[in-house]
Formats: sequence, structure tokens, C-alpha cells
Amino acid sequence: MTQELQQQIGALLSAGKFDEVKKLVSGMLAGDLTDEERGAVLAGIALAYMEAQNAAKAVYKDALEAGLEEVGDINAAEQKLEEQAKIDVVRADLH
Amino acid sequence: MKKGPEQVPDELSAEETAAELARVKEQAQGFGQGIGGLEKLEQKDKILRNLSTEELVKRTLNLAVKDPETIEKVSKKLTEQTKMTTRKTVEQSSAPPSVPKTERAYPPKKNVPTFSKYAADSGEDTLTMARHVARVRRGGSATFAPPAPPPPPVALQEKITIPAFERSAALAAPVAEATPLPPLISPEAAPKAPEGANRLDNPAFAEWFSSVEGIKAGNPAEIEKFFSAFEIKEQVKNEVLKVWRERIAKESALAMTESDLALVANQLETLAKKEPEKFVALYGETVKRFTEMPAEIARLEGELQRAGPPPERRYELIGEERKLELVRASNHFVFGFGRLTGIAARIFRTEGLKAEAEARTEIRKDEKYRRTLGGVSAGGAFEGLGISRGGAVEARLAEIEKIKEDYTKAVGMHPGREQVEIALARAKKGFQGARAGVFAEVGVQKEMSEFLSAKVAETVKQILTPGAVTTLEDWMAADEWVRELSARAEDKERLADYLRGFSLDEVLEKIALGMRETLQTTVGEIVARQLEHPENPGRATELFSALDGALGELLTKKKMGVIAGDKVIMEVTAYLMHEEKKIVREAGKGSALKATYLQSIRGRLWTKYRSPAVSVPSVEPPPTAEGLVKELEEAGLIPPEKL
Repeated sequence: MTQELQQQIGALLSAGKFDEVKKLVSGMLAGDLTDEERGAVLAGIALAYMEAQNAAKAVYKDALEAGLEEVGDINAAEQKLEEQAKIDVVRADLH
Repeated sequence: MKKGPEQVPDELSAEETAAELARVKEQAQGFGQGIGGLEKLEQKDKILRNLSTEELVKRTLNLAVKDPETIEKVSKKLTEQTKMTTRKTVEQSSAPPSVPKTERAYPPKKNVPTFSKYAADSGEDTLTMARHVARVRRGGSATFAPPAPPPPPVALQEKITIPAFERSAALAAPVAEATPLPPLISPEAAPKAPEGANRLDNPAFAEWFSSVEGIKAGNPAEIEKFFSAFEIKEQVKNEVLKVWRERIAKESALAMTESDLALVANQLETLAKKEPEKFVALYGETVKRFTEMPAEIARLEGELQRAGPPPERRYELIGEERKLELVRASNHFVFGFGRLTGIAARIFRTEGLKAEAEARTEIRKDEKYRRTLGGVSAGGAFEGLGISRGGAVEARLAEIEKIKEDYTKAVGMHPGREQVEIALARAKKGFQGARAGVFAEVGVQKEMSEFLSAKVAETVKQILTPGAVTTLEDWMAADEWVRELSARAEDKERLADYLRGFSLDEVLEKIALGMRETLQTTVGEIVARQLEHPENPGRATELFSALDGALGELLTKKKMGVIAGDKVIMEVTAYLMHEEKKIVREAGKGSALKATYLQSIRGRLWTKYRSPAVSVPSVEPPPTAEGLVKELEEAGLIPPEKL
């Protein structure tokens, strides 16, 4: 891809003319690219796809990790309270 | 009897020296296992002293990068060896050779003469005896002959060419397997040298490396850089092609030919050769995460299941409306144009997309986006596509504290055994509730994750599918409607941006979907008001007028389009039908009349607003009042006498 074309796309994107970018992309994929450029675009799409999917999955993964931590906190607090309750029962029996 | 230099045997020619070195190598391999501590260091020292400078350098390269501590020691030895070689050369030219302590390098074997025996028998020095023993082991005569004069000193300074250092030679003929040196420090503390530490010993890598242009072959760091790319490139290629074949091509209906896939593979191969570091950082990490994350998620899910007793409902399904609400609250750019620009930017690697970056930075600063909505916070939403949980953690901790406080308070007020047990039971119930909350929260995030994942696929499809390019007019028309709808929503801008991320049809669908609640509320109010006195004449007309006005407000907007119009009218008629059934089922005063009214209204609305151009086979035409009653009777919902 030429520098000029990159700038053109950059300008279109910055101006919010996304439909034109899409047309351009479609046009490029339709056959205006050299083999090397076409390979680069297709590889780039796959990379973007994987990155985006990774980000989407990371939402859940992060939530699971946070959830584990929270359940751990809850379990620990519960266990501690149970221990406290045992002491409180003994204390109550002594009174 | 000490022998002078003229008596040193000359049998150790260059070939024999090489054979001796090979033997020393074998010895060195054995040392790593059986000898430890200081003894090992001594042995090591001897090995290093016996190695040629070139051999030392070669071994240094073997250890490069992976074992910096060892390489430092080896470097010292290398320096020392160089000094010794120089000294030895000088000494050999003028004085008797030094006597290295090499006894341990030749462990006694059965039927093989030992140093001590020969030394005792002949009175020769150890080096002479070692050379003699070596000859015997090679099958030579056991009879000791007086050693010949030493080889000329120049032999020690002669440059020995090691094939592995000559890149072209190394590539043409793979060198023998490298012999890793035993560790100089304790085995526990020493980092272990990797297998095949000499990268060029790997024939496949050597061949690939030979095709890289303009590379400094002798630079270990450079070799390592390329080796990292070489190690992952096949997996990267396989995964990228798999993603194209099994995901993108199917999802976008874009025909990918084998030649296209070959272009992709070539591109990756080229990048690995031209910019190995970039290749590893960009593709290596992404592919690694892409392939490993599902297993990681499964592992975490299992852990979470084990961590807490199963609550009654682990995952609360939030539904489309809730997802929309969450997305609206949390994602501005992700589902809007930013998503498109983000992917386009990656495709084209443009550096000029400052607008997006700046916008994201600004949004991050915006406190509004950090608000918590139903436990799901929008803070950090722009780190990729995620929606962080933000305040949910704090809320959970506060919940735990509250449970503990309540327990303490209850026990403090009534310190009897029974009260303690009651308070504990209450606390445990609270903890269980808190756990259920965590599971529900995780469930929400799971749904969001799946939702995001589906939208990513849709976007790629949108970009790639020929003919799916939405015209600017379409976008503007949709945008206008989005704004109309957004005006009714609490957060106009976010909803507008959210909806912009979809195709026109999808936007209209979302509009209709988003209208459901509004319609039900509006129409419901009208119906309820108008049906308060069903016996009054003209009620049906009034009701129709009211509904017509409400719908007209929604449907007569320009550019609404018949698709969305039909969706709206479908919503309304479905709602009216539901109301009819409810009225008939309740069988209250005037229920038959009410149902008739509604049926009439429904028919009129349907006729007026449904587009004849669009067939909607999935939607039933409104039933007649008789049909409705019959349907309810058949369903056993009402006894016939109640009507």
C-alpha cells in the first residue's frame, strides 16, 4: 500500500467518512492490490479479528478472575465468622 | 627422569589433538552427572584449559542469552585460556612444557595402563604418560617409547576453522550435535541451557536463516531474535489461515481462494524475516492468546465452580434489552465508528488515526463513563473491547462487611448460644447471597463477552462483504431516526453511537426493539384509559384515534422505512393481542366488549400501517374476536360461560 493511499484512508477515517473507507477497502480487496499488499491486508484483517476476539473473551476471563477473588474473600470471611461463632458459643455457655 | 622438550612424543598430530578434544568432550559430559561441587569446578577448569580458543567461543555461543552467569564465567575462562595459550606458546619455544593436572580426565579402565603405573615404571611426567595412554587406547603399542620432540609451537596459534562459524559452511552441512558444558555453579542455582542452544545446529533453522538477507551471522542476539520468529512462525501461519478458513471466510461469505491463503502465508513469512521482533510481538502474542484463552477460561470456570457452593441460580440471563443498556452505558466507540476505525487502522496500519486515539483518551477521562450501572461499571471500557466490573468488587466487599457487622451486633445484643446460632445462620445466608451475586455478575459478563464476540464478527463481515456497503444517505437516515429514538432515551449520544455500529437493517431492527417498551407503555396507557368505560359508544373510534396518534408519531417520520414500520406495527398488534387475551381471561365486566374493541382496533391499525410491499409470513394476521375466544377456549384458559 502506498503512503499516499494510507494518508487518504487516514484522512477519510478522521473525517468520519467511514462508508467511503469501506468502499475503498472493498475495492482494494476486489483486485487493485499487488499480491504483497493483498496478503498484508488479509493478514491484517485476521490479526484484527483475533485481537478483537481476544479482547471480547478477556471481558469474561477478567470477570472470572475477579469472581474467583471475590468468592475467595467471601469464603474466607465466612470461615472466620464461623470460627468466631464457635468462640461466641463457648463464651455464651460459660455465662 | 625428567625429559626435556626434545623428548616429548610427536605422535599427537592435529588429528590426534582433535581426537583428544573429542575425548575431553565426552569426559565433560560425564562430569555434569557424577561429580559435584568444587571437584566439578576443577574438572571444568581443566576442560576449559584443554579446549582451543575457537572451541571455547563456540561453547560460549551455545550458552549465549540463556545463561548469562555461565557465559560470564566462560568468558573469563576464555580470556585466561587466551593468555595461557600465548604463555604456553612462548614457553614451549624456550622451556620444557608445563605439566597440566590431567589425571582425572583419564579414569583407569580395565586392562588399560594407568598414568600412575607408567609414571611409577618409567619416571615420565604425567603429560607424557597421558599421551602414551591415549595411544594405547587407540590401539597403539603398550610399550613405552621415548617421546619425540614436541610439535612446532606455531601449531597452537594456527587458526582452526570451525564450520559452525562459517555461516555458509554451516548451512551447507549441519555441524555435529553441540555438547553443552556442565554448569559452573550449583545445578540448583544455575539456569539450564536450552536444548539445541546452538541455534544454527538446528538444520531447519539454519536453512531458513540462510534465506534472510543482510544478517550478521555471528551476532548471537541477532540469531536469537530470528530464532524466536522461526520457532513460532509455523504455528502463527496455521492459526491465521485457520481463522480465515473457519471463521472470517464463513462469517463474511467472502470467497477465499487457496492463492489468497498463500498470499497470507507469504506475508507472514516475509514479516518474520524482515521484522522478526515485530512478528513475534504482534502475531506471536495475539495467536498465543487466541489459542490459549479458551482453555484458560475453562480452567477458571472450573475453579469458580469449585470455589463456592452452587447457588440456586448461578447465571442470570440478562437478555437483549439489558445488554443493550449495558453497552449503551459503557461503550461509546466500541460499537460505533470507533470499532470500524480500529479494525481499519489495523488493516492499513495507518499512523494518522489520531482522532480515534484522542477521542478514546477523552472518553477515559469522562466521569460519566465510570458510573456503575447495575453493578457493571463502565470504567476502563476502552481497554480493548472490555467492560470492566469496576465498582462491583467494592460493593461486594461492603456486603461482606455488612454481614459481619450484623452478626457482631446481633451477638452483642443477645449473647446466648441460641442467638449466636441464629446470627450465624443469618450471616451464612448473607454469604450465600453474596456468592450468588458474584456468580450472577460473572454470568452477566459472560453474556457481554459473547455479545461482543458476535459483534466483532459482524463488523468484519460488514467490512468485507461486497455489496454490504451502506450509503451515506442510509447512514444519515438511520442517524436521524436514531436521534428521534434517542430523544426518548435517557442517554441520547450513547444510544446513537451504539446504533451507528450496525448496518441499516440492524439499526432499524434495534429501533423497533428499543421501541417495544415505549410502545407498550404508551399503547398500554391509551388502552387502559379508553377501556375504562367500554359501554360508552364510540370507544373504539376514540381508542383507534389515540393509538393512531401515538403510532403516527412514531411511524410517520420520514425515512422510517417500511421494514421498521412493519416491525413497529407488529409490536403494537402483538401487544393488543396480548391485551385482548388478558381481558378475556380475566373475564371481568365488559370483557367481551373490550376484546371486541381491541380486535377492531388491531385490525384497523394493521391495515393502515402494514406495508403491502413487505410480506411478513411469520406474523399472523389479527384474529377475529370469535377466533380469539375459540383459541382461548381450546387452550382451556376460559370457560365459555364466562363470556
